[in-house]
Amino acid sequence: MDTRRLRSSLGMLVFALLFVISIFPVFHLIAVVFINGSSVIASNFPGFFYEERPLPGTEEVGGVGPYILGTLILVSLATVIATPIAIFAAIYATQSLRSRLGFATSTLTRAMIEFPTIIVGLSVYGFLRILDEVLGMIGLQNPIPRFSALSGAIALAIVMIPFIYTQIEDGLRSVPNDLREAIYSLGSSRIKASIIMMRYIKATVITALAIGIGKALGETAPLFFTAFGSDLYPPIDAGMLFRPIGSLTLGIYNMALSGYDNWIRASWGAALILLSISITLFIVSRILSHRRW
Amino acid sequence: MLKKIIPIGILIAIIIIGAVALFMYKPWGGVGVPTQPTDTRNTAVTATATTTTSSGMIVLTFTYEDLSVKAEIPRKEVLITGGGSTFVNPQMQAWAQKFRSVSGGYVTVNYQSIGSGAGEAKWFDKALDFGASDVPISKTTYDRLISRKASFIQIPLIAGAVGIIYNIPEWDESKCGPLRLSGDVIADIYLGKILYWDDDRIKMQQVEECRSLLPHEIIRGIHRSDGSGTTALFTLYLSTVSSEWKTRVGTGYTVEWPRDAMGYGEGARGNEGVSAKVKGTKYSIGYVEYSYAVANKIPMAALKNKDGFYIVPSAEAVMEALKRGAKDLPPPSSFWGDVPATLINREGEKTYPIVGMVYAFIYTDIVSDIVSNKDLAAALSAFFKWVLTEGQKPENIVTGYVPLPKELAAKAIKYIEDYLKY
Repeated sequence: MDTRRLRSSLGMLVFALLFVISIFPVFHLIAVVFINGSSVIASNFPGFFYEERPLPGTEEVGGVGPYILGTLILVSLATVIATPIAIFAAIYATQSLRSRLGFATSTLTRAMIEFPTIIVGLSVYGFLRILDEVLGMIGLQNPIPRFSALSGAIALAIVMIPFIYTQIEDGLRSVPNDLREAIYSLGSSRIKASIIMMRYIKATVITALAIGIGKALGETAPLFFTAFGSDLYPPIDAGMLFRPIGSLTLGIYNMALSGYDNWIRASWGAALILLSISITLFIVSRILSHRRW
Repeated sequence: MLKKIIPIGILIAIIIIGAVALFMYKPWGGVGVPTQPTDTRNTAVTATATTTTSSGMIVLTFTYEDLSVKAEIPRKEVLITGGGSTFVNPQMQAWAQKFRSVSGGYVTVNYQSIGSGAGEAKWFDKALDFGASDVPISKTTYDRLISRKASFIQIPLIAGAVGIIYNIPEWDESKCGPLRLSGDVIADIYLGKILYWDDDRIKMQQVEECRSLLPHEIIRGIHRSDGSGTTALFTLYLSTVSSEWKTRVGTGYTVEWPRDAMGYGEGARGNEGVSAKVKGTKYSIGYVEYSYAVANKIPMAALKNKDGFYIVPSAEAVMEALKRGAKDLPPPSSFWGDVPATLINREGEKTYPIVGMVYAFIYTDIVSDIVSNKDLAAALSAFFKWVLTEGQKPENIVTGYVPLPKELAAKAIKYIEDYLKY
């Protein structure tokens, strides 16, 4: 055999090996979580989905109901806050890139991706603290308590915005100039033009949302000093958003680090639920964005 | 590829949707009220005598030995938010769950283990209704409270201890019993003055036939790398028994470890990190919370106490120290910085030397605050009264925690009654 072919197949082998090494952790992680988590969920099915955390050191696994409820509330609230902001910012930046403010919007929002998320949580806490003082001075009460579902959602939204923003901005940039010119040459207003372009990049918007929500789902750090966490169902009424709330990630963090076997097992179950939600989200968004509209 | 993924995805989606549907199916009507409202209300009645006053509060009587305290619980859903000490977290969760049924589902206590330091800071900020810490209010926070003319109390809740764990494969526990160590030896190990396990000062403390089991191996000193009340308690003990430790290293949530600088020591995160590292490192020594060691069945060393007895940590041994130590609590709003030291290295035949308490901080002017909140104050008062009475009984104590002696509980209850008015 000539050396060329040998070198080529050797190279292929190395690449195949590197490929396996690089994807192994992903599959290992999924497998470990599924194996450990499914037995826990099965041992208390379907109670695991709505019951509360058990007493430490007992044999029971209990459930993670308050965490699931909290995660659903926090992430949906955060999405509602973050999506319009990110979309409008992206439209603004792409439509007025020549202006300094548009350039600043683009650069700064992209820089926000690199922010350590714990800082986001702390800054929301600090901001609300200052708001407390300022409003207190004029005799008003701060409408958003520092430890509440609302402040948690704000922190998560800040984490989400740059992820949604970058996707949509890239999408808008990819709109062909011909289309852009065509829209404007028909005398459309900027708003009308933006709506048409958003329709053109629908698939990107869905991907952007999925990435943003996926990011928010897995966040623990920004919630420490905002959503605060709750291991029991808080009183469920209109004031709920103004009280501390739990989340799957906070629950996993607390239980996995405890010394109690049943809590550690419950955290495996919680991890499986979180992972399933992320994977489902990923797959659904893939299907939706590949579909022809 | 995609065609294969889609069915799997749909399957997972169905599972999740099914789960969510089940979860939503749960009647939300009274979730603040526990899952089986009728049951729990009955327990509340059997556990304590219940009467209702004209003011609409439920009056309950809590007992602990010969203590008997009356508490009022508002007939309204109240949420108490607390946070701080990681050490007390499992116990606090147990208390919170049990107290919710005792209160007939009206009072929910949400406690999060954000760490003692953060608990103190966020309580000071009034973001929490109460803070819990492994040490009393720090000097800086205390001074700020005084300059702000805040009215507050601090009370002990429960006690615990620090256990010394070790990994010497040659050591035969069944034959020799737990390793015996004294405070000055532990201090010198972490100071780097004792290098090997077969050092004479370690050897001479063991029973005669086991002395030869100690190997000529370098001791690996493991400690907490994160700030922790356990480290604070452990270093307070070392400062008490070794003057060199006191001057060279001192006491705190985190300290500079001399043995690390020599290359024979290492940090690990949390109790679980230290115990895992000790387990995985031959010839190592470390320290963990007593409750953590008990929950995970890790053997602990016997420590030489002030009177020369070698004591393995146990609830009784900790109780002995509590009885001798914090007999007289200072006034609740004075500086309590000296209280922890009174529990360390106490005398007695059965007294374990490294003992500490968890303290709760409460503002007593909640009612006169911007939002006057009578219900919250009543609920706080009832919760802590319950914790200090019924909460100290064996059935409400999580394994590894040590109840307060009756005298101490009585004193704390008196502080609540005298200062937390509503």
